[in-house]
Amino acid sequence: MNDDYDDHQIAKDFSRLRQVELGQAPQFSSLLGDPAGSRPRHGPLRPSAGLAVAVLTLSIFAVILLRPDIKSGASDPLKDRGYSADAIALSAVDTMPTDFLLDTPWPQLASLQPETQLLYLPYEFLEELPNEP
Amino acid sequence: MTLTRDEIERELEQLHHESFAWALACCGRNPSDAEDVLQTTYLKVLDGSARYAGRSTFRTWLFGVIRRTAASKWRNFVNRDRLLRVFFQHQHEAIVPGVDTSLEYPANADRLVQALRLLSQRQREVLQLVFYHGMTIEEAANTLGIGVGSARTHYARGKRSLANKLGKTSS
Repeated sequence: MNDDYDDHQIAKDFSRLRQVELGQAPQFSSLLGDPAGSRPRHGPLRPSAGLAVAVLTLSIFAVILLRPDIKSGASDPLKDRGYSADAIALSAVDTMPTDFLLDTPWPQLASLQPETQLLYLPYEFLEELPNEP
Repeated sequence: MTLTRDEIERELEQLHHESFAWALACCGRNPSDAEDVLQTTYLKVLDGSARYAGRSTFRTWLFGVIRRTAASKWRNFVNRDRLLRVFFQHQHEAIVPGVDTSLEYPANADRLVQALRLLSQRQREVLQLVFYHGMTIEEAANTLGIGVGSARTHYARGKRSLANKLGKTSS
């Protein structure tokens, strides 16, 4: 134990510190206010924020429910991408440049096939071949 | 024991200066952190998140709430700082709360503040509650949520250590 410093002196030092710090305390009423920054994040929304969320939700539902294509349940991907109805109809009857590949002239090709004849060797002929040396 | 909102407000107002001083001690004597912690504590008490059950004095209970709120703030800070360090790969410099203080102390008080920083947290807390707030060791133990025997040990060791440090700096 340090003899130079006893309980009384420690208490005196603490007392000086206390005088300094207590003078720095903010007003009680200023801490009881409810500034936005002090509100807990998980707390309930403020009325204005809650109203904004409600309006946004309702407008999203209204847009979804009032759209006829979504209402009928049939969604056309071309319409969704902004193509007009005429363009879609035209694209339905139009032929693609590669469609000729689908019309293969099988009968003509078959007629062009060269006629081949099977070669039947008479068995007797084989028997007449000379023996190998 | 249930207090009405008016009674709670009255109690809080009576203890306001003491509470601020305790919040300062819990926040490393950083006044802006202390204000923040104190305001959060008041909100907790008034909205009923922290309820006084009458098992101890109101001051002891309130000081316990302040201490827990400060600890929670500190934990959040440390976790956020750790995340920042991970994301920015050590380029982020840690800002430790409580080290920078805008309070200006006279020489004697500053010497005590510096000496208190060298003690362990428990010793610092027990000495603050006993010498600064005039609590008994039993009340201090109750506030800190530790046993009386443990509080006595922290008190004795802390006082000896503090006396040594103050004796060295004064000579």
